[in-house]
Amino acid sequence: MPSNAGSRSSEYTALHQAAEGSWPVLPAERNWGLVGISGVTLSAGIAAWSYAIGGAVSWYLAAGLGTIAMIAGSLVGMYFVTLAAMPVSVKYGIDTIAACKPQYGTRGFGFGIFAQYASIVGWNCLLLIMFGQAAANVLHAGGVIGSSTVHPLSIAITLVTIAYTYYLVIGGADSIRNNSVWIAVAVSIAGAMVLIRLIMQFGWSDIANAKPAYASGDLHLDYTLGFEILVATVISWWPYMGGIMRMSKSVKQALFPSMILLGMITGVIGLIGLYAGLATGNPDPSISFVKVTGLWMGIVAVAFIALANIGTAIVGVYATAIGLKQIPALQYRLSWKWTTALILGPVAIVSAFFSAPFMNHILTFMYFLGLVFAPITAVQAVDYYMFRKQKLDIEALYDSSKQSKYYFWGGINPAAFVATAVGFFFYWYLLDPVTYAQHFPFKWISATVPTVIVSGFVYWLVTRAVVIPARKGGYEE
Amino acid sequence: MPNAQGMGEVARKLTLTEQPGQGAEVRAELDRLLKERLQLVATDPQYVGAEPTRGDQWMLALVGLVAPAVLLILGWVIYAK
Repeated sequence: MPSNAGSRSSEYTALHQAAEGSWPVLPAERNWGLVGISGVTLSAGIAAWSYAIGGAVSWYLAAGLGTIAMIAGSLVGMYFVTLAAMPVSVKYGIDTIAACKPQYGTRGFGFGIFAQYASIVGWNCLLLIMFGQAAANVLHAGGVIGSSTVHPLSIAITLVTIAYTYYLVIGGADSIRNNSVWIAVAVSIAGAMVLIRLIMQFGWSDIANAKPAYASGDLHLDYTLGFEILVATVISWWPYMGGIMRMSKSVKQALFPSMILLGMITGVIGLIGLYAGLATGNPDPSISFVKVTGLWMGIVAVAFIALANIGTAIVGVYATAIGLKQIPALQYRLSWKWTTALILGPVAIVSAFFSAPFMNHILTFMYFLGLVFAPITAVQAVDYYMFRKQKLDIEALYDSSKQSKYYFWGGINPAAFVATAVGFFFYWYLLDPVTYAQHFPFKWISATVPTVIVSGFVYWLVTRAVVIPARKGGYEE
Repeated sequence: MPNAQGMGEVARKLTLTEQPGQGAEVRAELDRLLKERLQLVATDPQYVGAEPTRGDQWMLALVGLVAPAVLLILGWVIYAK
C-alpha cells in the first residue's frame, strides 16, 4: 500500500488541484498552440469505450448505414458540447464545472459534478468489466479454463483490476494520469490489430453485408437509434470540454480539435467495434475482439486493452475525484482515499453482482447520458448567449456567499433545474432508456436534439418569467 | 470571495483526513492564492479572450449540423435500398 506520507501528499495535491483546477487560467498560461491542443484532444478522444459504443450500434445497423450514423451522430453530439462549453472556457480560461455556476447557482453547480461522477462510474463499469471478460474469454479460448469458469473468473479479474486502479490513484498516480498519449497509443494498437485481423479473416464484403443482430425491422427507426447512441454518448464529453479548451488561445484554434479530434474520433474509433460486432454477431467487444483475434493475438490484444482500459479508468477516476473535491461539503471532510473509494466502490458493486445485467443493458447507460447532458448543454447555451450576452462576472463565480450574483435562491437557480427536469422527462418520453420503447416523433427527430431545444426553451421561459423579475442571477445589469 | 469563517469548524470535521488540521491550513493557503489570482484577473487587460466571430459560429454549425444532416441523407439514399 502507498505510505502515509504518500497519501498525505496525494491529499494535499488533490486539494490544490481541485481548487486551482477550477480557477481562471491567465492569458500567459494559455500557451497551447494548435499542435498542442490537437495532441491533447486526440489523446483524450481515442478512448477504449469507443469500441463498446460501436458494438452497441452493431445491434441495429449494418456497416454502411452504421458508419454514416456514427460519424454524423458524433459530430452532432459534439456540436452541442462545443457550442455550450467551449467559447466560455476559451474566453475566460475557466473549466466547464465553474462555467455552469451562472446557470445552476453557487451550490447547484454540484449537479454538474454529480453528472460527471455518475457518467464516469458508468464508463468505468463498462471499461473494467469489459477487460475482465476479455481476459477470461482469452483464457477460455486457449482451453485454460472451462466455460463454467469464465463468468466467475471475469468478475475476479475485474475486482482485482479495480483494486489495482484504487491503489494507483490513492498513491498519486501522476505518472499514469499524465500519460494519456500512451493510453491513446494502446487503444489504437489494440484497435488496429482487431481491424487488420477482422479484414483478413472475414473480408470487407462479408463485414459490409453482415446483418445487425437486433434490428427492429424498421430501418428508419434503426438508423435513428444508431445516430442517437452516438449523439447521447458524445455529448457526455461536456464535463471535460472546458478543462482542455481553456488552454487554447482562441475559439478559431479550438474548433477543429473539439469537433474532429475529440468528437468525430469517438465515432471513427467506434467503427472497429461496429465492424467486429457485425462480423462475429456479438456486439460485446470483450467477446467479438477475442473471436476475431484468436488465442495468441488475443492475448496481445488483451494486454493492450488492459493498458488502455486501466489507463482510461485512472484518468476518469482522477478527474472525477478532483471534481468531487470542488464540492465544499466534501472538500475538507472526505480524504483522498475515501473520495477515490466513492468512485470505485459503485464500480466494484456493479462488477461483482450485476456485471451481466449491466453489459446486457449497456444501451440504458448510454441513453441516460443523453438524457442528463442534453438539458445541461441547452441550459448553458441559452444562458450564455441569450441572457448573459457572453459576459460573466469572474469574481462572482468564486464567491459562494449570498452577495454573489450567481447565488439565486440558496445557491440554486430553479430555472435551470426545472428546465433540466423537463428535458429529462421529455427525453424519457421520446426514448425510454430502460425499456428502449420509443414514441413519436423519435423516429424522425431522435431524442437528444429535441431535448436540447425543449430544455433551452423552458429555461428561457422560466428565467424570463420568474428569475429576471425577481432580480436574481445578476441579469438586470 | 470565499471567506475564512468557519475554518475551525471545518478543521474539527476532518474526521476522515489523515492529518487533522491539515485541511484548515490548506484552505487558508488556497483562499490566499485564489485572492491573488482574482487580483491578477482583474488587473490583466488581456484576461478576457475573444468571443467567437459570426464566421466561427457558422463554421461550427456547418460541421456540427449541416454536414451530419447531409451525411445522413446521403447515407439513406445510398444504403437504404
